Amino acid sequence: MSSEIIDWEKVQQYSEEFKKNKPFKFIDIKNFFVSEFYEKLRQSYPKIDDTWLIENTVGSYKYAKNYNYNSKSEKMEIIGYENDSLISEDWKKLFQYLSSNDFIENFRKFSGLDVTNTKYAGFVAYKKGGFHIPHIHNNGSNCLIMLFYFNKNWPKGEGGGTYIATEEDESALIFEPSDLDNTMMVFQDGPNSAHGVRYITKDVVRQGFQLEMQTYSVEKGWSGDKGYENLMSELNDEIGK
Amino acid sequence: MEIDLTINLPTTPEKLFEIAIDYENYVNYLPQQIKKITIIEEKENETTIEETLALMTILKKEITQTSIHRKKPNMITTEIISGPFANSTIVVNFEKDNDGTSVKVKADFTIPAKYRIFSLVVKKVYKNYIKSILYKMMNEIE
Repeated sequence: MSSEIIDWEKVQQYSEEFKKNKPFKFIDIKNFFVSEFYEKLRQSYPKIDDTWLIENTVGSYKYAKNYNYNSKSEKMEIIGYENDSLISEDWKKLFQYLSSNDFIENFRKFSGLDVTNTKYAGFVAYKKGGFHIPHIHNNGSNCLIMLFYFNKNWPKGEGGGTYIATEEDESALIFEPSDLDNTMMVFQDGPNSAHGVRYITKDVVRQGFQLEMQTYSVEKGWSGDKGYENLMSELNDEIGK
Repeated sequence: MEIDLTINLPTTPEKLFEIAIDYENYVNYLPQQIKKITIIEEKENETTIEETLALMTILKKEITQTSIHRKKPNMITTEIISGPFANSTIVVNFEKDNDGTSVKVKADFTIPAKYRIFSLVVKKVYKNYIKSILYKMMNEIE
């Protein structure tokens, strides 16, 4: 099935560049999905309706439709999309594939990181006025964040692609994908992994899809949760002093 | 602690300024952080406001502060007169920049000694609040 979805041989050619990029590992890959499959996904990208969440916070203004891993199954696949009539069969095929060994093994090989599972995946869209202020998750280094874009003729100079910055400040931007038509952006999380989405000024919809891979074990849980818990614990200790 | 921030936005200074002086509307921009705004006194160019803020990234409890906002053409100066950040000042200029507006924010925060360890966090959080509020103000403009 993977050859219909992703040409891994081509993707793996970008592995070394991903590993070498600074200040943290990142890369954008053009024509990530096999073009026929990509067109099916793009054309059936779900319309934003009241089943989407509006994330209107200090940090962002965006629309999201997220699906998490199944914590009650050993297989830990992404679930929740199966009976959603708004999700096309091609998207369902992709969702299934995202939890597969083939997908995970290829990204382990690509990244050189000990990621073992897909934790969540979902649609993320921005309309005019949307933004995501530069931020750092810092949920641990065994964490890959991926963004896939489904936009033909994205306006030149417009924000919308997830940019990489050297700190949590838009003026520190060092890379931003500008062609959002079948492009995939991936970066490793960590203490310096600043990223964000510039304010969208034009009347467009940025259609994207995001997923996160981490290390999971029955004993320790998700590597990212541990990092987050440690961070909050340290912060609360500091506040309590 | 001084904070300088410039943001360029695709609208006129006049339109943005009109929205920026609608102080009671700020609760709609950041409802999780700006809990309540009450206008205590309103004069022609001066508005005194009591604000209840939940800055949970920095402080565990909600705080209440009183501020005086003074407006001049395309400029707002704010003086915080009570609360943990009393004696802080903020100046916001809305300047025409090509087809848009350059918003220049200059803040001088008085931070209580026990919170000084968080100065960098305060700086980052404050910048994010300002950016977020300005972007959301833009969504009110058509």
